[in-house]
Amino acid sequence: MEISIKGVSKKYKGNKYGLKDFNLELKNGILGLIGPNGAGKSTLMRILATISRPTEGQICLDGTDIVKFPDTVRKVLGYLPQDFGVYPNLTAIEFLEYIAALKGFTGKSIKLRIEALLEELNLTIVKNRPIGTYSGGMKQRIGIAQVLVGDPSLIILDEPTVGLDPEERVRFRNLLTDLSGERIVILSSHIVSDIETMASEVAIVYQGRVLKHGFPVEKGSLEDTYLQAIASAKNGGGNGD
Amino acid sequence: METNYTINSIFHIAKADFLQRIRSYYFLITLAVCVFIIYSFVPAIDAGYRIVSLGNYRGFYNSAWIGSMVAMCVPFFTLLGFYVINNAVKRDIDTGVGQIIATTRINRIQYLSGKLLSNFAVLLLMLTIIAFMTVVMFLLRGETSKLELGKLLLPLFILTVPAMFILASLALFFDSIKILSRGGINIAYFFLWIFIVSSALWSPYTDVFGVNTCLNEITKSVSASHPDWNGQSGTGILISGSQASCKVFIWEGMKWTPGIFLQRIFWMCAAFSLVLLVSLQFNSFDTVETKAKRRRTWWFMKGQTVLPEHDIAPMRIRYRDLPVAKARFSFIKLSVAELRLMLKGRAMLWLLLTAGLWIASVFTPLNIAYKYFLPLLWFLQTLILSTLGSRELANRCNEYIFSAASPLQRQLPATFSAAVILMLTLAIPVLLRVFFSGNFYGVYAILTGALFIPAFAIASGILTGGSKLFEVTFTVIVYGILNGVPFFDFTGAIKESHETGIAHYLLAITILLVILAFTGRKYQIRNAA
Repeated sequence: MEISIKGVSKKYKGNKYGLKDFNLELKNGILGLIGPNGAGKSTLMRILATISRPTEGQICLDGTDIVKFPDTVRKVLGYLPQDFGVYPNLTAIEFLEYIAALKGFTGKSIKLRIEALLEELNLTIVKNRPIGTYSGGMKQRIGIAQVLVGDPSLIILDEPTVGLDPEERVRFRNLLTDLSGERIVILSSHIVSDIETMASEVAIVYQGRVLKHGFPVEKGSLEDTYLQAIASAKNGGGNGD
Repeated sequence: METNYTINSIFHIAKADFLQRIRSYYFLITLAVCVFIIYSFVPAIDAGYRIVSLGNYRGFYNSAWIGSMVAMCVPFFTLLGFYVINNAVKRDIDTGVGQIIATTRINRIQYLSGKLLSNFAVLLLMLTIIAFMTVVMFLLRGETSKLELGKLLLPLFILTVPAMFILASLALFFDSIKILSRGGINIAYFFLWIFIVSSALWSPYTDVFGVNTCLNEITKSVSASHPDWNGQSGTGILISGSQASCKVFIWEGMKWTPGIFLQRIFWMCAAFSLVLLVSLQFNSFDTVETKAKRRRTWWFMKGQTVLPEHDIAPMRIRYRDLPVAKARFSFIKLSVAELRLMLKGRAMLWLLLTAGLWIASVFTPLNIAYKYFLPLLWFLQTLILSTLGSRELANRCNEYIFSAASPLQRQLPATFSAAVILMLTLAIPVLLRVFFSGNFYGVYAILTGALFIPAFAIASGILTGGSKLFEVTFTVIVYGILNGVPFFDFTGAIKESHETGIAHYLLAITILLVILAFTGRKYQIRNAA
């Protein structure tokens, strides 16, 4: 699977840009997006998830323009937004069955998968309780479960570790490592160590552009690389892509 | 020092709330509706309808008459105004701002005073537009060029300003009581409003909004000066043909007696005391208590509390071990899931009432079941239906639901189907009885109604992003049907609607609403973020 992002811009009212001439080529693996607040990470993820449209540029999934044919992406997508809610009156099972039905998965196989997902996410004990009674971390896990319910080959995770305690974060990192393979995972986080541990490649995003991409990620080096790239950009340095 | 802090905090709460409200498209729409109301409620003499009827007489369009006519529109403003301001506290709870405020030194009375001030300021802004329009209407429709601003605007300010203060207090009272601050108040207020407006007819002392003050003075005056007056009078939208042939009565304006002021002050104090009363128990920002109490009201959640994080073991996922799911879309299963989503978590009282009316519609005489029980059965579903078009947004599920495969072709039709299934299930006893009685138009009308109501609910939810429009409009429609008003008779039980074939129009409107819903949702999907 390949995603090609060419010259993508997202312009808002008042001549402000969420993304400006954004270019990136993605292949199977985990891409970590890192950047300051308002850099354009979430805007990019929403455009890739087809719930927002670019004002310029082209995004192709295996050669198909996803702006013109959004269902190309939707069929293979698992998306966890940064700020999301749930239907509080449904139980975990009912909620995941609903999401699965929306994604086109019904029958025995999806029921088994949901049960297994809940078991693996350690939510089995509360699976018949309304989600409204869950704590923040448990809701975040339900969010992760809805991403994985349909075995997506494109996974977009916007700040997925928010609300998870340190132990859960470690396990989530293991999950992502387990996920990588024949799929593209795009992950954004403000936590440098999360990106460093999970991503196979990193893109530093600043003011709607890719500042640096395709550099090797070594343990303990990302924070320095990130700070240098941002400082350089603030001092008028060029695009390091 | 403390007084300064109090005044300052009240002012800033009111200012923030006021700015938040007026900087919305809905407020602009409300102002546009006000302009439309005033334009319509000062009709041309040959317009074919009247707002104030004096039988064989009509008022001469001078400053006093036009000013009084606008002041007599106060019932409409007190209905419209409530729906503009009735969520000041709820919004603070939903946005979490309330919890921030709760951690400051601001006490309950200061907070509620700020909200009351804001409610009142929003209504006064509406009133300013109305006052401006009143002057415009005098210039447009006046039969004399002599503009007397006092006579034109004093009725509006002396009668409507207090009414707006009473309304601001009432809205805050309902908003502050948890059990009343949910969607049901949009429906309940409509009936309360009918009660308040009707009670004005009993005595001048029970005239809470000052609805009849002007009309009483006018009828006294016309009766004294014109012995041939036939004694008929009334307010409202009265289809009565052109007024051009009526005799002309010249109204010189209200005599503002101390009694009028005392009545207004009394009702303002009574309304304000409601706010003081509610401030004694106000604790809406205690979210833990709010959640616990709400959960206790749901039968299937009985006794459950929020689970602490440490009770649940951390996740230990191995993705490769998960069973593989096969993609197999089923519209029926999605519709069933939608139906479950609609019905889950409803109160036991709703279930009992619905079941009771359903059973009653099998055994009671068809005339009663058809005319009253079926509209009531459907009406009981208002709070379920009203969320259909906006629940993804309200629950912040829109981003991942709209990025699922083919949301426009799958999710929206499934929601619509589930709602139609619910409507038809509830209608089955009456539908079968009407069919076997040979009333095939009735069958057609009921089927149209079962399509129209969900289409209206979904379209209004999608287009407004909330549930209020449907809740209010549907309540008004059902009230009209129960009182024999044929427009929008979605069951076909009223004789006049049968004769005029209202069901055909409703079917056409349904198609239009479905188109609007799909168009709106298409836009939402591509602009969810």
